[in-house]
Amino acid sequence: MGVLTERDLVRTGIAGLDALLSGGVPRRNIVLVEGAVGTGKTTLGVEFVYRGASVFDEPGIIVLFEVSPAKLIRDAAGFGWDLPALERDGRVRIIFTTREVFRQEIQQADSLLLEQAAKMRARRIFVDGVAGMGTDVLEPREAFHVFVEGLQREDLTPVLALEAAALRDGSALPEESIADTVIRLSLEDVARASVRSLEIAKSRGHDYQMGRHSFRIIDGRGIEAYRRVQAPRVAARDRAAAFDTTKRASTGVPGLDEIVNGGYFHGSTTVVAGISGVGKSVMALQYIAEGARLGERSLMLTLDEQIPQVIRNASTIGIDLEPLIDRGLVKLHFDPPQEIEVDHHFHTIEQIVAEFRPVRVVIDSLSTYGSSLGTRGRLFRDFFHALIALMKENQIAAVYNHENPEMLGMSSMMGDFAMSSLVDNILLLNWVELGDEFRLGLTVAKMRANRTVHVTHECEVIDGQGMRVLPRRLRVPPTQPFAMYGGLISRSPTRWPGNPVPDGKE
Amino acid sequence: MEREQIRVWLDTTDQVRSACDLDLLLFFTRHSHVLLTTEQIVNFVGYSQSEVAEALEHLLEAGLVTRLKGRAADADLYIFNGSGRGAPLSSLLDLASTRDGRLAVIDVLPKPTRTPRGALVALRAGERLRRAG
Repeated sequence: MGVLTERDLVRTGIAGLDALLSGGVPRRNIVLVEGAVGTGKTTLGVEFVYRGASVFDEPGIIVLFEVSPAKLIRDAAGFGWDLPALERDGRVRIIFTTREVFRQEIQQADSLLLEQAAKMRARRIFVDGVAGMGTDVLEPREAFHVFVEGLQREDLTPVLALEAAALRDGSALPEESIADTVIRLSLEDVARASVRSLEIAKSRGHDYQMGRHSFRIIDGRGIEAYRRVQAPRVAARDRAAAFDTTKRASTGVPGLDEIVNGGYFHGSTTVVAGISGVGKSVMALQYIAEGARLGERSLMLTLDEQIPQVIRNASTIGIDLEPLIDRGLVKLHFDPPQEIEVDHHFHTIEQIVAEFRPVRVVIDSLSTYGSSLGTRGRLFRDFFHALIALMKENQIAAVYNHENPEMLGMSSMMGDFAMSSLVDNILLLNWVELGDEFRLGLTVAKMRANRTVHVTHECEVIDGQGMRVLPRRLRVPPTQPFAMYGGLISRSPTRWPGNPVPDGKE
Repeated sequence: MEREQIRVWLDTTDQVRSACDLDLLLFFTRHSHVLLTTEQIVNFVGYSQSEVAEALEHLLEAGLVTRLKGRAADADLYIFNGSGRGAPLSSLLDLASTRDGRLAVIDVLPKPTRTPRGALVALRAGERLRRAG
């Protein structure tokens, strides 16, 4: 596919949409925006014209058949778009007409409307509602074709809103095959919430991001589109996945760095798994405080506890986060876990990472994502993949807390989250019942590209100080070679009596 | 609103002579650029064709509306020029943009020689209901 210069592309100016369109829509493409009532077609079309006139010096025309211009102006003002000012400057014209008149007018070789468009140097036109363009003589498809031919005569890039109530019965709408770019808007019911999504079904003449992306209509701003979290990564992220073995992020937990070879590699993914209350968040707070001590920016994304709670918790282990936040070394971001819109959430994380440039990130917790997104389907896995890719691209040493439901011991490292293969390091925090006490054990279950000794270390959490790993005081007795045992592979090892290897067993 | 104040505005502007003039102006206030046939405007404002035609000519002569001849379907492009016309007219139109304000202005205007079509239809429907009852 040929590379279009920026000049050939019409930038919509709608936040996030141009990125999905690889820069914009090829100039003069007929853009069809289709969707049911209330999906945001009019808002998208009006914003296209508004951004054109106010940002890109491309005057535009808005053609309305049913919506009153006064109401459209009122609604636009809610987004901060001053259409009357642009009308006074001759950069926007809102025309109220009927479909029949408009269709006939556009068909005329000397169309008054197109003459007006030329006079104001219009480059964009939005027509709100192109359904029912058929006539007694022409079939709808043919009538639409004739209509868009009329628009094509001028140097206009049209956005045409088409109400399509029963959009997805599998059959294509006649207008879809004629249009060059088709953007489908929809409202999806997700667990009693409504989520807006858009899909670029086709766009002739350039590349674009396929699939269903999310968007929001935001008071005071307009439309914001968010790339679907599953969309392919850029090559830079893959390249960044290679570790720099000279840079590690120390943990801030006394005694732990010795166990994890001095810290986690930059660009690595670490999961700390354990039941609720075992000390995962304590470790996380020590990790970001250690980063701040070293002058490294640290970000904590919390889904379980709001920011004041996190600050309070930190103070109980002797960490005063507020001055670190004030100095720009620590950033806490809370997102309520209910009704997480995954594309928007990921977009927010991308933005924070881009602006704050953290060296360390803590996500508290993966399990809460699992509750919101579900662990069985692909959505959670795709989101986690994207998150890991983002952190690696930015060479961030990321720590993810994961609540494992088992109180004593663990039968699997990540429970329903069958993603341990994606993770570089796994630390298990376990309660160990000794007498009438629960003691805390820490095991490094996995440390990719590092020497790993699978020993469970005792830890303790002390008020005002946080967690520390206790020194291993006992002398370890000499271990026996495998040759002393049988049944190792069948997971029931039995020690041979007497000599290590019976006759004929070698 | 004082009837006297409305009368002063009407006299000062000297551009709104009838309810049809007023409703047509209000229509153009809400739709500053319209591409429509006269019949379609008649349908939108709810007066007889002759009343609308007369009011249109009056607004055109007063310079409150500009008409550009369309190329098809007998539709013309009407452009409202009244938004920058100063206090009396804008005050009058602001007042008439509400239901009560519009009725107050109509009450001060000379009584129409013909009943607005919408009102006539309602009147007839009422008569039919009374007869049926």
